[in-house]
Amino acid sequence: MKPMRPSRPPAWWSAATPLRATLLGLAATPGPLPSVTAARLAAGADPASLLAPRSPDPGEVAAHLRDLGARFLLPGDPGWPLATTPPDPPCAWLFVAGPGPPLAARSVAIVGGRRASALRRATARSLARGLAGAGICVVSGGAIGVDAAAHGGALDGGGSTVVVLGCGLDVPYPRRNQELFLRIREAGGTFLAEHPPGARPLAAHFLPRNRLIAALSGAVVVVEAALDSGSLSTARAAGSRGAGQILAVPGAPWDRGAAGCNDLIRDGATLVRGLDDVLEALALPDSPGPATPAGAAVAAAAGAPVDAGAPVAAGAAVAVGAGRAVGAGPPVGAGAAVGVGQAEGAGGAAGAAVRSAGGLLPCRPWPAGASRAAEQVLGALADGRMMGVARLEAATGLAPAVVVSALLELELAGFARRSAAGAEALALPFQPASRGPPTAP
Amino acid sequence: MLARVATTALVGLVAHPVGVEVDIGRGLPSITVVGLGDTAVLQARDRIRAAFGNSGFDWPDRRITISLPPADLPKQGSGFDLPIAIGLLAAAGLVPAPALDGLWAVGELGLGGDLRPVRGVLASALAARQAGGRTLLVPGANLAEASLVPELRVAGAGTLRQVSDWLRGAATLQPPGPARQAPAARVEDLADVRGQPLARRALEIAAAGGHNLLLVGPPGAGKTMLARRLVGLLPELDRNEALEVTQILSAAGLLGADAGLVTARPFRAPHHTVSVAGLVGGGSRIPRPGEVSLAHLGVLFLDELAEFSRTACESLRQPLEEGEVSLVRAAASVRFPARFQLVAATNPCPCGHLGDAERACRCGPEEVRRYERRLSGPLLDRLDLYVRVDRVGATDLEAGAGGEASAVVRARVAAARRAARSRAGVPSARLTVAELDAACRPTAAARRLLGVAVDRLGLSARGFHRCLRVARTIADLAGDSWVDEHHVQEALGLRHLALDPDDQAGAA
Repeated sequence: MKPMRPSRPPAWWSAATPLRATLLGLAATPGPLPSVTAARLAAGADPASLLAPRSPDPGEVAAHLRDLGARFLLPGDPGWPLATTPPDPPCAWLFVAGPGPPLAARSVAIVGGRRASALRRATARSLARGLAGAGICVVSGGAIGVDAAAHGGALDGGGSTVVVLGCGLDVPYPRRNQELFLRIREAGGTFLAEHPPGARPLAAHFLPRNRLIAALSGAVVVVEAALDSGSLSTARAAGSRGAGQILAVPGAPWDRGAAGCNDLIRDGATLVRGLDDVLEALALPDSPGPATPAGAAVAAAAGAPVDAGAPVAAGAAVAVGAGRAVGAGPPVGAGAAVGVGQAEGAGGAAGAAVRSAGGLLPCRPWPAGASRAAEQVLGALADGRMMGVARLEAATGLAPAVVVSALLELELAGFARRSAAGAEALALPFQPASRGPPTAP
Repeated sequence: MLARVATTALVGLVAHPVGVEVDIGRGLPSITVVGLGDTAVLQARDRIRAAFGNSGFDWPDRRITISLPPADLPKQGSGFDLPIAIGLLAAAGLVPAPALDGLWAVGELGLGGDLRPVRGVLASALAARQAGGRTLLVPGANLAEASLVPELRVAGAGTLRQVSDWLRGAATLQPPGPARQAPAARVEDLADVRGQPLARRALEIAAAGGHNLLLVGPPGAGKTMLARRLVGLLPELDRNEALEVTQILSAAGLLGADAGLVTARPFRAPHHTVSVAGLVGGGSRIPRPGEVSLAHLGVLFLDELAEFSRTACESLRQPLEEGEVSLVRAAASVRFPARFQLVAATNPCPCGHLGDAERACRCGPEEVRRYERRLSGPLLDRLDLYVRVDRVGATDLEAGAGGEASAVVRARVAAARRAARSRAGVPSARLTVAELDAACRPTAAARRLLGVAVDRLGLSARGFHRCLRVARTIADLAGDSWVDEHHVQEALGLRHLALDPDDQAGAA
């Protein structure tokens, strides 16, 4: 069927314009939310009728995309990542830079707020590092805070990562993450957006963006979420789709950054104590690696983009990720994780220690000569809250000068950091021996 | 007939000798002033004419020429009224001309013939003494100020009539009273501060080492209250310092009538809308001292540092480094002393509640970052001490005051300052990088700790030097000749912290 003539067609449009070009022009039209347009298309609207006089010439948009090294994907295109997990509202097109994202089954979304505590960001980072080591792609939103930590952790672990933006692929937002984005690009990561190049990061873009993060991932791990957090919408999107797993890192009832996570857990989300819980939830085939069907699927999915230049790069990126996963040896990969789970099931405290060493908490050995005051202060900081000297003084009963010197000790040992806003924990002590980590008072 | 009197012209803080020559000659009645005077000097004609009439003198209806040599020195203000009037009296034969030998005079005339105080009298007195003047005649309200200069006879008069009577030998003038001190402004005591042990300690260190201090905290935490108390921790001014302070206030016209020597260290807190000229000094023809000079030997407090304009902040660099400002204007270039101690205060974020235990901060990370960028980097580099000030809890408030009084702390500060002066000649805050190592004498353990801090805390080179200077002062307060590990530890607790926790590179 020939597309219907738009009411006020742009100059470039004619009845002979191919559907793909019409859709590209529509996708590049500034104004309407892509998710809204997609819903109208899904409801049977004719793409050409949705064009506006200002809809840009698809030829120019395509040229711009080529300059950016990006491509325009439509459902049904080889490499369309949402084939098995269509989001709701639907997604009509994607702008993609970098290799095609792997199948949702091999991807995990790690989400959380921009103002998450340092401890929760460190949790996201170590979780992402562990997942990358297991050959799993980490999907997140490219924001500061937890998102940046997740992407960074995936790179640290030598894995691949997907950034789902709420703006155009060529818009440097957030500015603070530009260095990280460059690293991701160099490491063969993928950038996705529903928005055309040049689209500004409007607040309204982020909720629809979250449904894509959920759709691209076999599981969504909410590392941090206050009660009104956008991360919860990602989790809800995963839940409403039915296929995606929802996982959440719990916290104390008074920890604001955990309120959303705790709610999710009460409502049935999987509680995350460590990397193993995430790997278990993914229910991956026993042995990961380049030779497994899952690995092949990754290669297949990634190696089927539209333009001819990309397959090589994409294939290489996957090979690097998988190679490192194998080379790193145990305890990486799902098989190893299962082993840990068994050890934990059989043992007591030792098992718990192994679990915490397994990658969730940013733990490190407690220095031998550390003072009692430092231990008390870190105990007060252990739930991740940022606390000023005055509050630490109240929490520990120590004199302010002692608190300050204890903080210095913790800072120098890498357990805490200070800013004008207060002190916060960066890591917690891990002691396999009899003496446990300090507890909050 | 020609008459000559001596007076002074104030340029900056220095008064230059100026002659006043009055000639009354034949010709149509007129009065001309020559010699680079400003509007106020030219208006002297009208004031003097009215004052003459109202004092009961006959105005010489002839051709009057008044010259103010040297003609190339710019002259400003109303202080020339009195010497010109005296010259006219002598030229008109109303007072004997020999009475004007060695006479110096400054003062403004009211239309009724009354004498009004002028600024810069202390400088005039110094100039008169240096030029070998016999007597300095000033308005009565300036007498206390003029008599601060020893070895100079000063006299104060209330009206032009008294002056003429005195010059004719018909009356005596009010002699200077006993040397007076300006009434000391009430200095707030540290004992009134409740709680805040860290801030009190930082104030003590700042006073002992001459360190500039940054107070960061939410509104209402007591930053201004603390800053005001630094003045009371500093040692008292010696006589020369007091003269300097008095001279600056006098030149700025801020010394009240009948004020004597100012012995209190100044505390200046300009509002954040202050202009660059208001801050460092300025003015269209002859510059006047700005806030930095008015705070000379005292404390300059900049509240809401982020709100000050960038140019204002940058203009503080020269005085902070050199202890003076030099200003060049069309008519003159002058130097003003400006060795002040800087206390700056800022909220931690636009809403002020970042890190506040009582109220949640409403600012996003980007807002905090932008706010941080507004704090001038070069200025922050010169703030050695950083202290977070939080609201005092109810228990501390109820416990009441009870901390040490300023006098107790001042004694320790004085001892530490003596130690620093005997070692390096200057307070530790003014040690140059080259002098630092020799003056600070860190132990091996202290060096090691500093090294670790550079690695782990991202301490910059400047931060390193700041820390060493502060550690030196802490050691001086403890009476230790070496800078040891625990001194460095305390100094590191007072290092700069970034407002934005994810931007540690900008801090330390």
